[in-house]
Amino acid sequence: MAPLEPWEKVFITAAYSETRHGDIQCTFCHGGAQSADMETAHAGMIADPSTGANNVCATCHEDQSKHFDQSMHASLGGYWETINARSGLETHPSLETMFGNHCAACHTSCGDCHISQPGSVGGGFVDGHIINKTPSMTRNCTACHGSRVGNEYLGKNEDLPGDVHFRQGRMNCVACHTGADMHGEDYGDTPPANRYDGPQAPACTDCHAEAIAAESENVMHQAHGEKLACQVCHSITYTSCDGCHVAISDKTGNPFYETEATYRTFFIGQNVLKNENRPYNYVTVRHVPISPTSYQFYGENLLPNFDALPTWAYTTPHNIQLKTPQTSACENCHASTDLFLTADKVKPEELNANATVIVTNLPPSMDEINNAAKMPAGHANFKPGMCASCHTDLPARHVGRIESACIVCHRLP
Amino acid sequence: MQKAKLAILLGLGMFILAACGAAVTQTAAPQPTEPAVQPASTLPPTATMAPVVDECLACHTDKDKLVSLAKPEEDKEGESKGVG
Repeated sequence: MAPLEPWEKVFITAAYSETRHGDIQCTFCHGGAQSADMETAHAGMIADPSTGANNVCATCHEDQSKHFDQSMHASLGGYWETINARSGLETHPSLETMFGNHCAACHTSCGDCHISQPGSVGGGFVDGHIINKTPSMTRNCTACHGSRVGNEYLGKNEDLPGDVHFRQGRMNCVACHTGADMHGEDYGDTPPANRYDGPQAPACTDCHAEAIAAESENVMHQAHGEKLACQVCHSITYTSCDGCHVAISDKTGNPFYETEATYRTFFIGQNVLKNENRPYNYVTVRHVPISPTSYQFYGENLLPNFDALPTWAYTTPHNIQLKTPQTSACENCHASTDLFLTADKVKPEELNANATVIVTNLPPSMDEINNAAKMPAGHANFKPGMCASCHTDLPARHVGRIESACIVCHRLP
Repeated sequence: MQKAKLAILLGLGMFILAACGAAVTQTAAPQPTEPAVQPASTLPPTATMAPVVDECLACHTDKDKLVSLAKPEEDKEGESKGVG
């Protein structure tokens, strides 16, 4: 996205005055003074009056503003959750300085989505200060979420198709990520700790209700049920990153970052966030750009509990396809280790951090499934998950397999 | 005869006027009351409407003026490397 010229960033179009907000005197929101002299007019002016405790938008838009401070876009809460988990009390002050210098700029205000491009891409009015109810997909949403989500969704990664919801559905971000979700209108008193906390919003089944295993006519959905996240079968190669390091420039005094590597992966890992909202055993995982030395500019060993969280993290790639390499043949998952995050694919120094994600017991091969002994007819009334109550002496190859999945191979006659 | 009718009508009119006057004098004089207390407004403060000549808009809608006043900006992300 080409940056705006300095004058263009603050150029108000004549059309703005024709809008409802154009009836409001500029100084009502921005402060400053009505004066032809620039210095006088700008004295005490608030460039973005939609941020902080005195958010002027809340004057009229109470519902949208009520919980916004608790939303991920405003609080960046997910970042602090991971930083806190990997750090300790004694390292916290240094990390707060780091966060202020490098992360807090990603904080989003009402204006960052509805009036201007985000500050992280240089700011400037998207549409001559016209306040757009629906943010621009490319100049607001993917201006921040561009390098992974935007490129995947829009098909900008070489040789990889864009998301079917964009290619065929021409859906923009807000078609799934509603304003109410972005504003945190449904949070109540308990905001989620990160974007994978609480109910899925959005969930694939919001639109594809027929895909839910018990109701599905699709035999693959019936067989895999809620054991697999939708993306395990319906997403394709996506972006992983290694070793982001931050520092302050000696030359300019500006903060900067440097990532060691960016590469394409597709790996299925174990779901460490398993709960009623995300009941899957397996999910797609990507390498996040954290390293034990990411923040070493601010001090030594600032992440003493680095192994507390995986570096291969739960991810929901935005490149959904009906047909993928996984769906093309059962053997792609049921005879191959290629798609699974096995220990050999993890850096030795990160094995401990990823112990709960690494897949240690691969799915049975199709031969094993097809030739497995049938379950006696008398077992028909037994509930899934009961098998191990009697079958305590399981073969070694069964160790680690999901108990409720016995019937996948050992079918009823 | 006509004089008699006129006299009767005149008398009737005077009677009605006298009755009205009596009714007026019987009306109780209004007692002084406490001035009504207006509840504090629960509405948000009203946004000030834009004046006919808005100095802010006069400048910020003038492309040539903005171009002449604009200062070059430094690239704050210039030293960053890799995907952000």
